[in-house]
Amino acid sequence: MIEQIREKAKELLTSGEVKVVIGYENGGMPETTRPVFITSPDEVERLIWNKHCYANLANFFVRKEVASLGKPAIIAKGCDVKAITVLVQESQIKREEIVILGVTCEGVGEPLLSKCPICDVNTPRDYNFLFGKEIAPKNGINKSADVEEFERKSPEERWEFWEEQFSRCIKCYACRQVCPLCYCEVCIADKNQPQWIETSSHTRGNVHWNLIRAWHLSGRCIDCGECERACPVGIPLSLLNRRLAKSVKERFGYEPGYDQEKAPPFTDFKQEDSQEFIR
Amino acid sequence: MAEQMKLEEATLSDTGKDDLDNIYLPHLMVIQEIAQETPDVKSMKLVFKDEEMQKNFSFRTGQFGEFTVFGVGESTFNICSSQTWRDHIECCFRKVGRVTKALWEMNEGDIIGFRGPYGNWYPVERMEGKNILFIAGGIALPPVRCMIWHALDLRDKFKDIAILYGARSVADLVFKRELEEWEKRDDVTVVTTVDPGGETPDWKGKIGFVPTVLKEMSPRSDNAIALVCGPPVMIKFTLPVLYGLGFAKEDIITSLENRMKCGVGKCGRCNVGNVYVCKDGPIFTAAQVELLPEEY
Amino acid sequence: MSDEEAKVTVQEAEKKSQPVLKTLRPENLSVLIQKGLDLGYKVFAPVKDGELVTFEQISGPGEVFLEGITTRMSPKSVFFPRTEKVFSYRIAKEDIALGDQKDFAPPTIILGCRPCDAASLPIMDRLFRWDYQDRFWNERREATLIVSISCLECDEACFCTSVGLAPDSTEGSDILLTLVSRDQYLAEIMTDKGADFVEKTGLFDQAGADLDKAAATKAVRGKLGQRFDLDKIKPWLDENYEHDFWKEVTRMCIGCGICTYVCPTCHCFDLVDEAHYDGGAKNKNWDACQFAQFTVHASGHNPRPDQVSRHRQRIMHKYKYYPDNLGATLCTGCGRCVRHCPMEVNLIRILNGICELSAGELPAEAPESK
Ligand SMILES: Cc1cc2nc3c(=O)[nH]c(=O)nc-3n(C[C@H](O)[C@H](O)[C@H](O)COP(=O)(O)OP(=O)(O)OC[C@H]3O[C@@H](n4cnc5c(N)ncnc54)[C@H](O)[C@@H]3O)c2cc1C
Ligand code: SF4
Ligand code: SF4
Ligand code: SF4
Ligand code: SF4
Ligand code: FES
Repeated sequence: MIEQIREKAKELLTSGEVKVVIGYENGGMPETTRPVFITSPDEVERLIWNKHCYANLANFFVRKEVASLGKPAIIAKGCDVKAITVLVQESQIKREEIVILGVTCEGVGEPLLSKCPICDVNTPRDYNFLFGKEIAPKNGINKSADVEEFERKSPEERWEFWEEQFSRCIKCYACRQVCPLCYCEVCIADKNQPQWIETSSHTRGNVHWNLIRAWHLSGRCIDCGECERACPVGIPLSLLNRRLAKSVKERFGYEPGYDQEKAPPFTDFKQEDSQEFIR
Repeated sequence: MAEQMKLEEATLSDTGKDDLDNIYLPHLMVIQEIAQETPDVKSMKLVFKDEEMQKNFSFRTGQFGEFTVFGVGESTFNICSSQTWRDHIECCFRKVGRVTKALWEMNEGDIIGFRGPYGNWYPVERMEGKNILFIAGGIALPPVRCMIWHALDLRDKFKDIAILYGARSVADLVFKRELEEWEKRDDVTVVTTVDPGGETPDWKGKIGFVPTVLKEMSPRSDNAIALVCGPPVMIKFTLPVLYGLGFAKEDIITSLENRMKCGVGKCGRCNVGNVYVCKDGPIFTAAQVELLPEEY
Repeated sequence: MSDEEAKVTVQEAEKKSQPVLKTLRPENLSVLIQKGLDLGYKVFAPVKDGELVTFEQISGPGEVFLEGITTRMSPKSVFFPRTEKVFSYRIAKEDIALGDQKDFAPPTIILGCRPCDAASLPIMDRLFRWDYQDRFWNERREATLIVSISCLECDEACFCTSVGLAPDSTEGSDILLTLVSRDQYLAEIMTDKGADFVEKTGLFDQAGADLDKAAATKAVRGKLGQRFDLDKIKPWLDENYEHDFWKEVTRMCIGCGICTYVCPTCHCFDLVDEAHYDGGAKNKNWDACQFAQFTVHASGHNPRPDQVSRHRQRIMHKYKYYPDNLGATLCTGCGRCVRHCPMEVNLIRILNGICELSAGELPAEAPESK
């Protein structure tokens, strides 16, 4: 399959249809890959595709170091494509200004990352070209099994768990930098007039940050799990993200990244929206 | 009761020692006088709360300090008074961000924190016996003003003194009273200018950008030192004019304004190339600046 | 204190002219830890929590986890916590009263430090003891005993041997333990502080002349090899602030800062005020050159406006500016930045690229054509 991808990359670059192909190359450490930006047809051999292609490359669209290269084609897994869909919905990119080289994917990581067993987009839902054999979406998967399991604990236990987790946070904000949907030019965490989030990395400041981050991604997070993968102190951020995703699905019947035409709940007011939280 | 507890908890009320062990701990200063210079610039006269400290405090013209608005933050300002003044120090700031907005709201009698003096100072020994040309743009008059006063207080030690000061508009000129005072003296040449369109009907100074006016002024470069502070664009276009007039890079002095936090060479923020602006600067010659990567 | 005197690190000031050699039986390591606790030291050691191994304060030898390579976070936080109050203040009537920090440097032991982490401490002493004295770092350094253990394993990210260190180097350690046989640690006692502690515990035996540290660490040294040529790095950096290479090797960097926060030698910080209704504090918080906000002026002007310039600063600071100013490379080859970068930017690759460029060759990954 990588041969076909390279072939297509070469063709797109040669014809000038795209100026850069954003993909993966082999990393220097075992079992790693690195994002690569191919601008010349002669270099397509550097592109690879394997179980260690973790990074959600949609992150790079909004980065000026990459945007300045010109029209991109991007190698994207199903989950990555969901991020692209949200970026298009939120007017960060125009769909026609990118070329998606979709890859079918049976999961990344050994063992699989936690997002993979509950993935229903093994075949991307949007692409210009598809590589790999189509994989039918699994039926009847419960995407919030871990959340339900966690919710069986008492509120005190849950709070204790999160307090313990967040107390470890070092406020590097890597969870934000790595997130394809955290594209704000100046993040609320960096604003100081007024100061919304305490900058100090004590438990209070950390809880503050982590909750606001999760909240800003609610109804938007497409569960690519990049934040959890990046977090240097191993905080299970996906559990938090999935908890919010569960609420959004229950209340608004909405899952982000599946349908470009369907309006995201927080940008769309409906008379029949559930109002019981306003008391 | 609550009052008492607070005072007990505060272990250090006497900050009157300059050899404080904790380099992050400020001295307390009282705002003695506030003057609004422009719609967004104020200057303040400050005295140490501790009289002993005020008596013993000394600094060199051109150094800076870290000024704390308690609970809000710390900002870097040049000490814009001269080392020849011993009864208070002054600072002048533009309201731009979090700390400066809070400082703007403060009143005479209020207390702020001060750490310093930090950084290097103007090479006064080298300037003595020379003609001095002061060039400043906008809010950058304060770091020049300290040296102007220094030179005027010790007038005999310097030869001709000329001041060229430009601002966007008449309203943006800071230290107007002092400009008038200097203009009245016959031992200083003062040229003020505002950008085209920034003049008022009764404006008597020049109209035009600093580099253009400098060219017109055409000061002599022999046995002279130029001191230039202003926004990056102004500096960029003023330097070639000075070179054209024959000033050597070593004889042009400027002050860099990199973002700072600690002021004492620890926090890494002001690191540009091989220098820490807070420790090796903020005062550099054009020749030294030229050797730095363009990260200022 | 002059800059020259300041460059004398805590270790150098206390160093013994000749290390004293003793031995310790592995099963006595736990006893040693307990002794330390009993003697009233705060003890920090690697602790395992799930997948994560980090330095934490321990209350008993059972919590210590000494397997594996380096810990996730470095022990620098013992001296330079990610957030720390440097003074407090109270508003009382019209007045403000300042409160200095006290008792922040209790007697402490760091046990199970790797030689690369121990080596980071004297490197950073140079900065914190340079000119103005940072008492928070310095006093803790003086109150802390470093008991390190030589590495017998490494991974592909480790490169201590390429920056002049070794899996058994003693830099920064008061006591270095090397497992020279199944039932014997060789203890190299480097400082008076170390000797005092050894004395107090009474757990160490005289070492015979036959103990060979080099033999014990030979295998791991072989595996580490030489990943790049340090001598080529600085000369190239001296000349190549402007070079297309920077763009090519850093384009995938997203500025997450992990490389600086996990790094044992990164020391940049912010000072922020934290207010409560009648008082507050100034906190010293970790910060890093990888963040866009780090250098932004209040006017909005940013002297390092893109990630390329910010990443170049990281490499320049570590391999050129710090050596020029403070006489030491600001990197101990611990490999954390390589291991934990989510985008595999890979410092070893960058330094290798520099070596190749300086040899006049093209880097392994040819730069993209224009
Ligand atoms: C050597 C030197 C001399 C200077 N001299 C002068 C001068 O004479 N006059 C002048 O007007 N300017 C001067 N400047 C520039 C001046 O330092 C800046 O304009 C000023 O500091 C910025 O204003 P601010 O603090 O209000 O800005 P902001 O950027 O809004 O605030 C910065 C401060 O707010 C706090 N802060 C920022 N972010 C946060 C956060 N997320 N959480 C909590 N706190 C936060 C911090 O304590 C920080 O110090 C000088 C600069 C230098 C380097
Ligand atoms: S990546 Fe982890 S440690 Fe860093 S800010 Fe996010 S939650 Fe905290
Ligand atoms: S090099 Fe890696 S860890 Fe460092 S800022 Fe860039 S992406 Fe983050
Ligand atoms: S730069 Fe990387 S390898 Fe060097 S000390 Fe820091 S984390 Fe370790
Ligand atoms: S400037 Fe960057 S690389 Fe250097 S110590 Fe600071 S954070 Fe680390
Ligand atoms: S301001 Fe902290 S190092 Fe210069």
